[in-house]
Amino acid sequence: MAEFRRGAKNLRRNAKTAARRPELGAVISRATDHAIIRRREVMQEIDFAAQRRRIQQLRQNATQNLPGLLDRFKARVEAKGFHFHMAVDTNAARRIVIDVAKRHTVQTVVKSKSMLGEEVGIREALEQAGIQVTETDLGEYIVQLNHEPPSHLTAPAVHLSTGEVGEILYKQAGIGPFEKPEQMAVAVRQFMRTRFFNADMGMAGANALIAETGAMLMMSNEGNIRLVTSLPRLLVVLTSVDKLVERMADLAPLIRVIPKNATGQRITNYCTVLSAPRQGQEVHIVVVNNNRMAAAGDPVFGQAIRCVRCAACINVCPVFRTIGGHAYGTVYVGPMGIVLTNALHLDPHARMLSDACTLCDACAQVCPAGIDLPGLILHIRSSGNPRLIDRFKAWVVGMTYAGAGRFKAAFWALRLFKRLFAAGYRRLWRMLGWTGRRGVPRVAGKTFDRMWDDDAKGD
Amino acid sequence: MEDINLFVPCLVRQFLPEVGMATVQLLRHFGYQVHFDPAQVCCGQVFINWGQLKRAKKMARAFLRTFEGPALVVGPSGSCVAAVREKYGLLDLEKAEFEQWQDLRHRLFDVLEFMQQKGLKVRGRLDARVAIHRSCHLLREIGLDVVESDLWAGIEGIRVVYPEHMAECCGFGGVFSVKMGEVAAGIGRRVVQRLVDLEPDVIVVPDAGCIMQVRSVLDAMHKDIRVLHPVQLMLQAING
Repeated sequence: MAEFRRGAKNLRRNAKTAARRPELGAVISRATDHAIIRRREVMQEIDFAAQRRRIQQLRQNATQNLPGLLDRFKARVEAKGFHFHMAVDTNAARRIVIDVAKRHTVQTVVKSKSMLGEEVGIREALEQAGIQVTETDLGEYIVQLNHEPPSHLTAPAVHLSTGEVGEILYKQAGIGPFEKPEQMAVAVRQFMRTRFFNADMGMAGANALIAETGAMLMMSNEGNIRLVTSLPRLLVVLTSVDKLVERMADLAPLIRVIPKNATGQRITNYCTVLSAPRQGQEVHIVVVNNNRMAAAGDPVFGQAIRCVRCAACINVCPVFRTIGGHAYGTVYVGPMGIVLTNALHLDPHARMLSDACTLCDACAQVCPAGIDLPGLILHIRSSGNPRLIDRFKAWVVGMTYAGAGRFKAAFWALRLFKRLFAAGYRRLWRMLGWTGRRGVPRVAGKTFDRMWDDDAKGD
Repeated sequence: MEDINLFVPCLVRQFLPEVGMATVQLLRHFGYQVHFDPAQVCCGQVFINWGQLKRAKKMARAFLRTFEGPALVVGPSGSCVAAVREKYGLLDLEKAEFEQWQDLRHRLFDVLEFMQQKGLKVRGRLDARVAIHRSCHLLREIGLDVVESDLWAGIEGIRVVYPEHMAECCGFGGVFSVKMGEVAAGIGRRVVQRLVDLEPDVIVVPDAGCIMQVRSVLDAMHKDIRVLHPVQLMLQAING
């Protein structure tokens, strides 16, 4: 799993490329604006601050007690006839799922959207084993057809325009050609029906695992999760240990807040609580750890494990809204992606993701789990930058700022340089990194200090 | 007359001195005696946000020394003020410095915040359509919404407009603006375009870094719209 490393390393380059495509930012900001406006409307109906305290508390209780809750959850689900598997990491998760599929000679799988599925790369693993996997969430199906990962937690195809989606559906799946999103949705829905009926195995994720009852919460807007979990006789629920909550009652604030926060919907269209296998159905629950239990105990990053994956922080992030999710090169993107990647992989390379932040604090205001995202990003930045050039730049600027005299002298030199070499002055700013389609800052002809002195003389 | 020690952020000192002078004139207008100590240094925000905490600590020490004493400290920058008040805690200050910091925290203000707290009202006239950019740190760390505040209530003729659905960052972000220059510019283009779409006579931006960024983006768009700090606009209104 060196993928996050590659992603973090290439972040600046990829972000630059993405930023040079203003149409990308236009598509993403238009879509996320929509969610932000609706969020503001529906949030007036609840006391967000109070709900946030509740969610923070229940998530904190859960993440501080993962081993205990896991034991209870396991005992409950096994008593009800579910098959329980614990997967320590990605490889273990893949192996368990593929074993189950092979034992049942599975050839076709219908799958609902799951970020953990992306983290584990389960679709690719199944495909490599010769099994056909169909993503049944519309957005996820589109990115599957386009051979790319989702660019957003809850809106996987948010980076694509309607025109691009129409073209992908037509070229890759022979659906259409359509111009209107409604036509595309209807046609994909028709096509999916046969896939649902013919599938040998269903695969779903879970939004919460309830230790008290051994049940699982699944939220979807398209109803596909109900079909995935009920039609095939074999079902695998691939989920992660951080999804555990203690009681059934804990679901209430989650169901109330997550959709409002994520897309501005009052409630997700379908909230399913799967509490026992259907008669004749075989259900395997695979709970992946991937370092979460250790991370939950980390004094700094522990709070990141509270994340409920609503993606509100992503919607309001100015960097995400400009470069989209793919430029991050990581499974989880935006503010929570920077933080979660660092929490799960205590790796110096992951720190470079913290560049993708203006510290504007917008994310902290919308996080329903009360995670101090900008504070953690700042912590990551101050844990040591592996890039030598950055450390050098910081040293140079640090030296010029070290005293009032040096500070004045440095800007005196800059002012002189500007007067002598107008073109060179612009180039100097570009070299410093002030790039992109904008002019350069104009150092004032007269400093404040001079103006102050002149003013005093004038009196 | 109460004394005020002026805190002039480094960007104001070197790039936007007129914002500093407008702050001085406005405070004098309200009857304060303003002092400026040219030995003052950067508050260290640039290094804190860069993750260079050792360097930031050195800057913070010097800053705390400069502004020792009982006088109020006021400056035109929500983000610098917020950095001193909220982020010096990350610097692992020694006991004596920590006490200096605790003392300074409660008498250090952004100029607009100071006006609000003291109930200082500008009365005057200004016939202009003014588009406001709500700078992030003033809004979210200091907690002052320049749009919702009553700072403009005493100015006749002013029409305030702003992007209503969200207060999005201009893309400056301190060191971010040179670490990820292209992205900073991309954010800036999108956010500034929304201000331009409001067809204002003036764009008002309450923080020095953001003013620099918005101006740079307007330059590249070949838009000749003035970008002012609120204190400059208020002074214009007073002087009619």
